[in-house]
Amino acid sequence: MKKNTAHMWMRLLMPVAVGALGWVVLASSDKAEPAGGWQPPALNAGGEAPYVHKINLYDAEGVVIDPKTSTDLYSPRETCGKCHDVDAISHGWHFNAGAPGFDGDGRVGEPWWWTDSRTQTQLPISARDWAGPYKPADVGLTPWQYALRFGAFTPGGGMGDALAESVDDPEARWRVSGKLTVDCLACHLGNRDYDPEAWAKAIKAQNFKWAATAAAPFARVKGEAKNLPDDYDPEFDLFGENQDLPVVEYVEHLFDPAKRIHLDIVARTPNESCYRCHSQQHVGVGATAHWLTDRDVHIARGMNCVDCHRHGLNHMVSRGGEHDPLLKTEPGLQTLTCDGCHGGGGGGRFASPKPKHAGIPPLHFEKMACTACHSGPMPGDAAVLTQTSMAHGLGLSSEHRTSATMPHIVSPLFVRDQFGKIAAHRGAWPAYWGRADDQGAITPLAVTEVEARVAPLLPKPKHEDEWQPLADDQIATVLEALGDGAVYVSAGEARRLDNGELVVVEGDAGVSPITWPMAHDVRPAAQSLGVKGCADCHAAGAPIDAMTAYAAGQPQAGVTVSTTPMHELRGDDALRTSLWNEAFRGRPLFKVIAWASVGVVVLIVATALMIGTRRLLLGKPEGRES
Amino acid sequence: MTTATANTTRAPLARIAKLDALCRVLLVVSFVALAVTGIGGYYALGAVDGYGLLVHMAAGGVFTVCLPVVVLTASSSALTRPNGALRTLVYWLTVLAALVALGTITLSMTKLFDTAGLHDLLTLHRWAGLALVALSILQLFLRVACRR
Repeated sequence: MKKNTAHMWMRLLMPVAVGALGWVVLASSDKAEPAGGWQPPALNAGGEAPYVHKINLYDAEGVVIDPKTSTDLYSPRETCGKCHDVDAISHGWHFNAGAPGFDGDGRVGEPWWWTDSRTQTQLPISARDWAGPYKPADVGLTPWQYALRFGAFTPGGGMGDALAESVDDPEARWRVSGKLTVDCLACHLGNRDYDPEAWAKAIKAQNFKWAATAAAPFARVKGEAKNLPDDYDPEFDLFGENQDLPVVEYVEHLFDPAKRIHLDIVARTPNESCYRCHSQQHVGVGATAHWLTDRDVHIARGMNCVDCHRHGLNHMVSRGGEHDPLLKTEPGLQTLTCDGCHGGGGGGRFASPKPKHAGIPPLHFEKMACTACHSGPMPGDAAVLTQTSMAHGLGLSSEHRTSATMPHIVSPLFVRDQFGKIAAHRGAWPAYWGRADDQGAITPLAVTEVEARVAPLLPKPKHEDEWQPLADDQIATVLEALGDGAVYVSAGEARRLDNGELVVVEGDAGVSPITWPMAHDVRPAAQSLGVKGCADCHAAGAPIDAMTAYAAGQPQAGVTVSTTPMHELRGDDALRTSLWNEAFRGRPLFKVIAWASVGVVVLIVATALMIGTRRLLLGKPEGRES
Repeated sequence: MTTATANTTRAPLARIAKLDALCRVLLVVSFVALAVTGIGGYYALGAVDGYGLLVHMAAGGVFTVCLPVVVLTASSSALTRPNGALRTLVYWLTVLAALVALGTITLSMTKLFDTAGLHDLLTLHRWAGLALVALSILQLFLRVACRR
């Protein structure tokens, strides 16, 4: 009986117990849920004033650097990682090109350019999934070669770090060079003490793992890892006895007795840090001397790049475009796009002026990006040669540059962006050796093959890194040596050998210019296209249609430079463009006629109204009955 | 002598009548072109664009020139030879719609309006154009109905 009673109680209480347990679990899980909205990251000082970074430096093992005795490298990951989530940061835009599992490559940007003056090659490369540039693997570039060639204008990470050993590359010397890890100071040192030249030299010397220390203001690095033998193994050189091993020396007086150093770390990256990799200058015929040009109007008004190009801890920097994928997750960023801030997007931030665009038909804003009228150098008869940090090493004293320095990038180009709007672009025609298949599709030769098989057949250029067009017989010699299907692409066409004669390959695959939109420098309203009226663009010879662009890589020295007008680059109908522009010649007269017409009709309507009113009030005149 | 005077008076009138007839034909042709490119372009392609916009602009020019001539002659007959209240009302509403369609596009060529204002003008232009088409069809219907 007692057993039955107990059983009955158990049957009654069990659901209650289970329910209570469930409630406890749910309640505790509710507590574990983060509250909605923005949460400050851990170890965030939170104040408006910058946190004073009087900190210890740590080596890769997490041991404090002693400036007097330590010969170990400082590790940005260990040092900055004490307070900041370096793993989250290292997936940001500046580090994630080519990263596996990352499928948001965003809008097209500036590619890297593999250039070689001897073989007259300028080949666009990008690890991102963009139409136009070649993936590194497509042209036989390994992460090692990629990091070595382009690492100087990256803040580390990506190909030089997480992806370093993703490809089996017998040429790679990661064991000797170490990895090119993310260098936080490249952007976040606020007092201009960071040395990008030292960073670039370190990479050239294969001192990848020494690069961050070399560029920092608190240490010096001597020696070049490229002098170390291929079979050098740091694990067998515990005391660093190899004479060629780079050595580190810390600047003792910068540290306090507690081995701490004051670093002017800023969250708001100064413009100068951005300019290290994102500078530009215009050179050659038609270019305005640099000292006569103005900076971006936003910078001139005291703004910083990061005022608009913001990011959270994940360092996914807002690119400012109206199609920025970040807008999906952070709708508030809409107010930091051109239209969001200046237009009707609810922005009006930073006291931004709201343009009236009086008299400009709204159709313009559906078909054109803001940059078409407001960005880049003032357009003239021809697009000007443009040099950038990433392509021409601007900012490094060690780079010898002339206006002929490769690659030959031109701007502005008024072509359609990937979203169909006409926008200001930079661009360049690729030049490379490749093979064409039966359908005319062209695949570039691997850069190593070009170096091994093409370079020896051509003379050493008189001027390193400069464009010196190849003669037809030189091209023919190389194509013959490369065999069937070989082509040389330059000046917007591919040529192959046919019975000893150079002939143009049909089709435009692989020969078209590579273009990418540019937003800066932004010109003020007074210098925008259209400020002087419709004829700024709607006239025969107006830059937006008629400005020409020089296709780099003319096939033969002495040949007249062929150029392409903008409407042709866009693929616009030439007749329609011409008719449209001609139509605007009669616009002033049409305005007069239209006003006269409106006036006459208003007068007639008014007269009729008066007559009608009179008839209503006084009745119909005698003898006029209907 | 009397005949000679009458001939000299009739000659300019005949020329005016010819001009009026020509203007009426051109107005109808340009109006059809405007309606096809305007309504067709907007509803079929989402925007009046490309060659369609060029034709719209060219037809707009012809329409602008012919409209006052036709309104002048047609209104005088509308005022002097009334055709019934409905036809008169429809006629004047048609003139009003044409005036709004022409006026909005003329105003949009000035620098008086900002982007929002221009959007409003364009919307008004579209509605006026649509009303003009509807009223023209109604007027045609009434004219045919009255003849019967």
